[in-house]
Amino acid sequence: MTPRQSAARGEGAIAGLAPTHHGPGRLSRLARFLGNAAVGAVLCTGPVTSLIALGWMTRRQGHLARDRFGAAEEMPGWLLGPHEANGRPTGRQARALGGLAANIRAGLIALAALLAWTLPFTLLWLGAWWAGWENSFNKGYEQAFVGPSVFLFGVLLATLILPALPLMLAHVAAEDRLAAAFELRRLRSVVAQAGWRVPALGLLTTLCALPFAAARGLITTATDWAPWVEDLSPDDAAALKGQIALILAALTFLAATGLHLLAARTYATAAPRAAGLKPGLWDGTQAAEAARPGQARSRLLSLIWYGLGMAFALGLPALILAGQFLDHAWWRWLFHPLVTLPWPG
Amino acid sequence: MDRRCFTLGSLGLAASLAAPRPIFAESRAYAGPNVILVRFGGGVRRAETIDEAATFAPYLRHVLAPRGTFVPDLRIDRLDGVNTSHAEGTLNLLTGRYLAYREPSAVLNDRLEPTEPTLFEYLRRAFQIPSHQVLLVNGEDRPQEEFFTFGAGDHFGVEFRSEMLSLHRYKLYRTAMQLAERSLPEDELLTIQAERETLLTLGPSGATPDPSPEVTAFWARWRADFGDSGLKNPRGDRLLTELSVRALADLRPRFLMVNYQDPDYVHWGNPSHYTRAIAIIDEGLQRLVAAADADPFYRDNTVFVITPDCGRDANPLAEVPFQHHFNSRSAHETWAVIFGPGIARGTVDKPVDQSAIAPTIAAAMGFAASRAEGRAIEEIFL
Repeated sequence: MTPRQSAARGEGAIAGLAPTHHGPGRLSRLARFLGNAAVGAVLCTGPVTSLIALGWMTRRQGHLARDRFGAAEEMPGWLLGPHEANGRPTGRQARALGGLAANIRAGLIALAALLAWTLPFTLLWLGAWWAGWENSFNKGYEQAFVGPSVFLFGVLLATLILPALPLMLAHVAAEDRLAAAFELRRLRSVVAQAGWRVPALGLLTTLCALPFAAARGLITTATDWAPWVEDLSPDDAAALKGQIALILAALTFLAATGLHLLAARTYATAAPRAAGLKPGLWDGTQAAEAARPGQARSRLLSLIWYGLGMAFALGLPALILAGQFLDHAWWRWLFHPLVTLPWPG
Repeated sequence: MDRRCFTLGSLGLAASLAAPRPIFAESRAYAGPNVILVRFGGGVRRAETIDEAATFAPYLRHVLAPRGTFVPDLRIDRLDGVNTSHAEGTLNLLTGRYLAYREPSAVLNDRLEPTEPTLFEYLRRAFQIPSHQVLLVNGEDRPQEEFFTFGAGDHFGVEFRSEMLSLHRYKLYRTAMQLAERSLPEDELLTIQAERETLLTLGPSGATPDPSPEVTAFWARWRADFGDSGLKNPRGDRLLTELSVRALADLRPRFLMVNYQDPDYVHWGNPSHYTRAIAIIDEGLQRLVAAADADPFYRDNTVFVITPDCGRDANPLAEVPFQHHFNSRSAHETWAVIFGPGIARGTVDKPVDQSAIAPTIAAAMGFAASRAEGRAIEEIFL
């Protein structure tokens, strides 16, 4: 049985949720979409379970990219593993839980890559904020410049890194290995080939982050526009918080999945061009299989597109900062649902 | 003071104050109790202050509240335009009215100035008390509250102001002295001149009256002890305690208001700043009460009124539920602890409006806050 045939049987996914290459019809695709959204939303309600959702998104990215490169394979599922691997049938245990294990593995790889790239600025934000207000509380105003200066340096780092982050993750997903996150020359070449798509992804990410900042504002001002909130019993308040968390998790899952897939499409377009332009650099990669003659991009134009991406990316720290002013939580400096873990917190 | 004396005194004073009079014409020497008004600011909830089990201010709740009258249900009225914030709450306490303030400038929109008489003005108009004995002690982070010592408008005004003790005022003194001494290099003097000009522009009305000789001497002693750097003196709400305790010893205020403020640092995270600041104020109260109890001028002759400027939110959905700008019920809920000579021991088990604080202090000191909206809490008086 070929991978496409097994995919057509819906293997490698929860029955009824299994996405396939050539589904039976619109209704079936809609049901699959709703099923995936339901599972993903529930998983995105917690930091630990959101790792599985991140893994699933990363596998979907890798699948989309490799599919474009011509390496047909089964669509990743939530729980079930493939019926065969390396041309041989898989065991019962692998079939029963292989998808979940693969999601956890991919999630860990993706999270490690994302944290490696984002902690240099998110840790600066966390430390600058904490130390800045600690300093204010203790009236050490003679050192008051330190907190804001460190924070702004973190913002500068973030604007440098954030535009490249989606393509970095797509590269990791396509290669299915952590080391791919640090292949700077390959990343640079794929970013150059991506051109206008880099700022487009940055803009979309910032726009998708708006509802999360707005949610912080709505939650913080709730006692003003919904005074009954103050009178809720602890159980009712917990239930309401659970409902809000679920809504935000659904939003997170949809937005993050959409952004991941767009990044994968961009990667699938740019990486073969980059591989065609510098075959030696891309030897042994998935993209090399689909390498096609590419044109060297103007360095100036690449810089302009990247600069525009940095400008758009600047919106994300601004939204994070606004959200933290409204309702501070230390982990929100480290985990933004559209940047690292798909968990709205 | 019994209730009959209180009522008759209040009515008599109200009637006498209503008549037009020249400044100081009928004022007389003050013989009543001293009053120390502690603003337990900036903004605290009942849960962390007066809840017996959960309080972060155990001295306030377990020692001071039983010494006098405990008002657990003081409320800021829910009127249109009433904001549960620090300057507003402080002026509610000082004038006995709501919305008795205005923004002197559309640009400096965090600044308010009272448009009705403050307790300082009522007191100094009614009695011959020099300005250095009516004091407002302010923190270094809310310069907008430096100017509550007298109000704008056609009422009593600057003639009856209190004096202010704060780092802002100390810096005004220090820069004046440094410029007069001319012992520093020229470039440093230029920097100091610029610093002084900046300090002088903070007054919304442009009027920063010169301190009295007594307060100037107070700053001279402060400078001798702590120097010019600003790095040796206590900071934050501990600074207010230090200023207040020194003022009790040096200036002998008859009316002292202490504007504690640091619990407000919870706005931007670190909830421990809030609870720690409450504990620091509680420590400050211990020092203040101990200083008063140890001094014959204040012992058994001082009424303490301790009350927040405003409450804070109790938003169960937020990570930091302690904001206070969202008009929540909890932000309108405060409390008061009042103790001293003539004050009954017990609990007022009914809601009391925040505008009652000013007329209650006025009644305790024997004058009338004639333009206050609230009425004194009569049941607290023996």
